[in-house]
Amino acid sequence: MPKYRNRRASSAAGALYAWLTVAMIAAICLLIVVTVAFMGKDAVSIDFLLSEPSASALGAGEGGGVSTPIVGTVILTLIGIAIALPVSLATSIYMAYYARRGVAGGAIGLAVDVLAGVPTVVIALFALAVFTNPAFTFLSTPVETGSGIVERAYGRSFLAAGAAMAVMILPFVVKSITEALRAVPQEYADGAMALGATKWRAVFRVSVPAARRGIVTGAVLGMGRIMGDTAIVWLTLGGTLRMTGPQPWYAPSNWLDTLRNTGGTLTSYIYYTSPAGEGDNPSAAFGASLVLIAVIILLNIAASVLGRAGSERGRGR
Amino acid sequence: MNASGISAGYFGTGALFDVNLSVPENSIYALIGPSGCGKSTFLRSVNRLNDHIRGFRLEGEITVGGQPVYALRDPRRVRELRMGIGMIFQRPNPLPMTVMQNMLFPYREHIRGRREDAVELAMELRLAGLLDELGGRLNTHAERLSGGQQQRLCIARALMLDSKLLLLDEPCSALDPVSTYRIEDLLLNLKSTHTIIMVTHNMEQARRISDYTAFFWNGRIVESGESERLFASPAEALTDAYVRGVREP
Ligand SMILES: Nc1ncnc2c1ncn2[C@@H]1O[C@H](COP(=O)(O)OP(=O)(O)OP(=O)(O)O)[C@@H](O)[C@H]1O
Ligand SMILES: [Mg+2]
Repeated sequence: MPKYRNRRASSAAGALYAWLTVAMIAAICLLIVVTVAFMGKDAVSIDFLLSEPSASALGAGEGGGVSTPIVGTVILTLIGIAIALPVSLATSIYMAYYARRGVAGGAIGLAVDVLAGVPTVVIALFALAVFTNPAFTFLSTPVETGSGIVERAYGRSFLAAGAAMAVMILPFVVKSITEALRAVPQEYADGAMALGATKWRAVFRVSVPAARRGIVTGAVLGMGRIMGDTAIVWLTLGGTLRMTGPQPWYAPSNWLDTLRNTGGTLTSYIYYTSPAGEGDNPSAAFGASLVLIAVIILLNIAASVLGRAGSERGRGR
Repeated sequence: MNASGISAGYFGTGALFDVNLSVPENSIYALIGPSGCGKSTFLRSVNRLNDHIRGFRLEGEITVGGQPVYALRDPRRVRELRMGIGMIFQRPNPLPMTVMQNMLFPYREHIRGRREDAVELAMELRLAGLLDELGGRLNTHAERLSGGQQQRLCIARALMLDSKLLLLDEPCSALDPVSTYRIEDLLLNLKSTHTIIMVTHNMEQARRISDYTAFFWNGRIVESGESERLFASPAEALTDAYVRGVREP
């Protein structure tokens, strides 16, 4: 049976191809992590994690620690997801349940796709143009002319950057949540409505909780993108290594001012300490990279635990 | 339940054509017919569940307990109508919560009466025999039950609202014979208090438990009447061929 043997051969080739691809991806991933870990391991220490960056990363051995950049990354991520998640959820619910094939649904879908394709540096530029408008002074700090008149807003702050981040991740979070909602069996909503629930209640009380795992995944995807973004940080958070608000930045009475001022993140720290930035401290840059990767891995672990806690009751077994 | 002159369709494509059906109280009415002939469309029209489907339209009149269903304008009245009609789907659809939470869901939605009363009623229903089987573990997540148990939970849940009419859309097609018999027994018991309309692809089942049967074909009712008569001596050749399981005449 030559035909049969042929098919076996081609399926073996397919398996080999798939296996090689997987092996290659795993190898590249491993290579990056191992390189970063190897190059950064000497920089990372308790002191590195707990001390603030120095004012400048100029000169070998400069740079200081990453304490406030870690905080900066966390703050930015939380602001971004806090804005993006409710908006995305509402958009996704509308797309999945109220505008299946309608004109409105199509228009939103198109807008989301286009937004997904806009480079983050363009979003950053746009955000800067908007947030320097005097009307947005509350997000950052006023820039005064000599005579004390507020001419424009500074436009760069954690709040401004967080809002820009929210816009940046919106399309990805919307897509992933919409997929999750569409995967929920229609019988759930139908069943709830047959029991007399309104459509809104059926969606909100039954379908959305059932899609919880996918919603968490979407949120994590967005948070990961915020943590890794540099362009928006660069343009709308200002090029600083340290927190620029009133010191100490962590005093509760200064919290709001800290958010309205600029600061550094792990990505901007990496840029500054790298040979491409003003300093030449690759080991500090790799150290910060290692920390960033660790934070993202931790986030993913937390998300999968959270998702499983939801599906533990959800999917059984 | 009474339906007269029902024509319905999706986006201009017809699914039902001039369907007339009268279901006597406290009886089991079986709807049979090949896939895509409009049985589900008909069933879902009775409690207006098709309202939410894009492009759906319907002409004709359906009355439940003498009340014209499609005359209701206020969405609140429509929901009240749905509460008075239990519906069971082909795929068991326990909500993603515990057994007890599922039972209380209709109550929580409508906040009529006290929670204690609802719990009492749930226990009284003995969860359609499920309670004994679960050994009282009402906090088990509903999706951990077997398919047959899930379906019985769905029936029990439908009974929580004191409905007089039950609509079942192939309730047993995903179940094994033992679970199927259990549900049939349950339905036969419920007949004394409820009117039951059931879609089934199982001729034996229709013959076993139904009082009346209607045979749907391409959106029309070809023949309807007492099950015993319809299965023993069909008036139409089409019905005869279908119930005997032979190809079209
Ligand atoms: N949501 C919908 N949108 C468009 N057309 C639909 C929809 N639901 C059903 N139809 C069409 O209506 C017709 C009747 O479908 P229906 O589901 O009522 O058949 P059925 O008798 O229940 O079939 P089955 O035995 O397979 O469940 C079919 O031609 C089907 O394609
Ligand atoms: Mg059907």
